[in-house]
Amino acid sequence: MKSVDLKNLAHILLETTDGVAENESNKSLKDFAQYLVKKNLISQFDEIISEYSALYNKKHNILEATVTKTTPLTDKAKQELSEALKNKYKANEVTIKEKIDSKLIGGMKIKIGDTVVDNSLSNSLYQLETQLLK
Amino acid sequence: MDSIISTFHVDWHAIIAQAINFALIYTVLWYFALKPLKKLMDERSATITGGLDNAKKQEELLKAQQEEYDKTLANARAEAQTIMKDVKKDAEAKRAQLLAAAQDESKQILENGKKQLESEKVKMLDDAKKELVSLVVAATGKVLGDNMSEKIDTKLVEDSITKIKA
Repeated sequence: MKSVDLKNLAHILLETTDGVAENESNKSLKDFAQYLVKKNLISQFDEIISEYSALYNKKHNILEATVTKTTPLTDKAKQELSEALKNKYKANEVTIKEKIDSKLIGGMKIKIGDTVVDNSLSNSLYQLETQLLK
Repeated sequence: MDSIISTFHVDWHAIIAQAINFALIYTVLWYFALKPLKKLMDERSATITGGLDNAKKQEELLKAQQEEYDKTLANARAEAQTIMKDVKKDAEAKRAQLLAAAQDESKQILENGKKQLESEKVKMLDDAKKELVSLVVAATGKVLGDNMSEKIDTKLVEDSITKIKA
């Protein structure tokens, strides 16, 4: 019930701010913030923004991918990955979030929504271990 | 004859008187002594005869009782022997049953022991295999981590992008 309410709030925020004039958008944001304070929901602001982001990306066909690597992606690799994901998922735009995790040893892990493409060496080792233990 | 009588001074009157006297004494004796004595003797004789008969009956009864006792004793012995045989038979059956149960139990214990041993052996081998694989994977990870270069990492990233494109 709580998550539904938050999703509805995020949806209302999107409808009142996206595709409207800047001053009207600012007014809507101000009203929304006052509403959250009044209803004591300000502590859940991050969750609402997360829902808003998901709804915004869905509305504008923006693909959000989280890439985990041992080192930051090079600009070239980021560009190639973005193009590849855009083509594969027929997205208008691709947003890449990067995370650093030295446990991966090498390679990278890509998370798109609920889908995970794990091409890291740690995952390969895990697969190898699983096979050897069968 | 007369001379003989005269010679021996036979007095017929005295003889007759003595005869009568004898008869009287005899009668009195017979009535007061001989008759009760005879009666007593008859009674005694009857008592003795009765006692003898009784003793004979007692003896026969005793003999019959002895025979009955012997017969009962023989029956009791036979019954006791039968009971002993039954008891022995039951004991043998029970012994055989207990022996079979003990054998079954020992067999079961042995089989359980074998199974447990086999299970422990499999577990030990499995644990050893897991440990070995874990060590091999950890060592491989360490070697890969130590030898990981930018070139290899770039190649891995390119492979990932190629897979996405495919």
